[in-house]
Amino acid sequence: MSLLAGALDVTASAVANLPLYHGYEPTSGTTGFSGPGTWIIFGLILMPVYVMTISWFVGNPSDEKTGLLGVVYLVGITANMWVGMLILTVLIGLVFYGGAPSPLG
Amino acid sequence: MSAETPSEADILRPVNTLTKKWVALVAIAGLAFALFLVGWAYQLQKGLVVTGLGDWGSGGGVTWGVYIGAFIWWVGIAHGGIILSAAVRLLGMERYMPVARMAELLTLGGLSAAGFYILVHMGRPDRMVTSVISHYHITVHNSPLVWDVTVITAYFVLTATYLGLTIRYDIVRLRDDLPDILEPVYKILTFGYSEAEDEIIERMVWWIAAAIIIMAPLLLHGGVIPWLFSLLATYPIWDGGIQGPMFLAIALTSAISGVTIAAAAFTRAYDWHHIITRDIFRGLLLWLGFFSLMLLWFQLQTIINGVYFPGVAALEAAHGKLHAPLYMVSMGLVAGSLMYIFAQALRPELFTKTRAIITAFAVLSATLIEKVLFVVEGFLYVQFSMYSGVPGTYVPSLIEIASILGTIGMVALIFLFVSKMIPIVELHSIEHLRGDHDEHGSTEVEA
Repeated sequence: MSLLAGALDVTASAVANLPLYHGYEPTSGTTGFSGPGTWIIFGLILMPVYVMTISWFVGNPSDEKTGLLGVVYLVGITANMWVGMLILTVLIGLVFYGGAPSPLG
Repeated sequence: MSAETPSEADILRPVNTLTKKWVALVAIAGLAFALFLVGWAYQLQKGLVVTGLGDWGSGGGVTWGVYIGAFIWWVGIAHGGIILSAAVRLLGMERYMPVARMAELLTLGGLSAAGFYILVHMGRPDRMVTSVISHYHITVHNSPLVWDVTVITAYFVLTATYLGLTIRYDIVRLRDDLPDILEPVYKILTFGYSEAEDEIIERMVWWIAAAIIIMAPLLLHGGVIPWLFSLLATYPIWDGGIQGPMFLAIALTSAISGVTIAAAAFTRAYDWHHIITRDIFRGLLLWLGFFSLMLLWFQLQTIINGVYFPGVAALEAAHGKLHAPLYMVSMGLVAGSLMYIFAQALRPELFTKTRAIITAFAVLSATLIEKVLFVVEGFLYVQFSMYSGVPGTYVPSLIEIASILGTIGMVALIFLFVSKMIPIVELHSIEHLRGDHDEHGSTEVEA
């Protein structure tokens, strides 16, 4: 197919789509920042964690080094938890499903 | 109650002794866990269909059964456990300080068991982490399941941080009496320690407890966890705002029972009668009575709303619930326990530790039955009779039953091994019992 014919084909398809394609998108309204869950989880549920973390650094007695130690605990334990689960699930994939899960395998 | 003074040697006894009973318990708990792992390996090989849960076309349409019921049961135990510990620190309940760390461990063990159940219930568990993380930015907007994953992570991290920060004080002071073989572990646990941090860490854990005491009852076990069910309006058993307080009441009864059993086991094994006193067990039993009363009250609300001029679906659901013999067994166990707790409140001579432990077992069994029934009946009584043509009824498979014993074994193993590494009773608590600090206790700090 020549370049011109290809271009016409794409154009014809686009024109036909205007009245014929239903126009629904499977994830329309559910993607992009931000949805209701974003507000509920990050705006409401986790609010006490934000207040807690800020309070580690302000008020008395507090100091930056110990506050940061707390943040290292929070980040380190989160990473440890999810990396541990990733290793376990990859092992399950290798042993029972013939390879690491997508997109790793 | 013994007049013996609590000492450091008392709380170090589990770490520095190795008894035949400990070995036997590890063997029993390990065997229970291993049995389930064998069943799970078979399930991984053949698919979730071996339990009947992977198939919409059988079992009366029930695709969530013991796995999800036990998941909520463990999450409840976990949330209730840390609420107890946070209350000790925040609300001046120093009396319960000796069981606070056990409650924290119960939270970590319970959340581990709950997370494990999610993995076990998946058709392709190997994809769990990659699919959750790669789609998180989309799914968090609308999926209560993803909210659940988020808050359970937050909760585990908060509890582990709480335990990790409080343990530093104990390890540094008791280091000379702790086993040298675990030196690398203690080095990591006390990383960057300086005595100047004590006061600041106390204030930081006060704030963690404050975050927990707001999040756990109001937003997690009275929020996101019941929302997994209560937001589904076409499932009348699950639907409705009552599920928030109901879940919380069940969580607290389960957790107090769990802490009672763990405390009784350690007290007996290590002769801690002067640390975890009869008074503590009686206090826990009274709290158990209060939350059991709440539990029955919320059940009454659900039933009355389902039988007095309800809608068609709600009537069918309430009717199904009331005609399930296991529901009656479950509520009977709670009601019987409550009657005993009332009786011993009126006549203190009726209280014995053995009876308190039996009551704890009765309530824990009742809440497990209630949770599984809640999940299963949700599918059995749905709007529009979606599954009316689906043959059969739900009967838990052997692997599912083994999963309950296996996760109990897993949590028992966590307790047994952690108790060999760190003091399972806070050093602060024996200092408090000895009166080493001022009358308000060392944990009370300026907010």
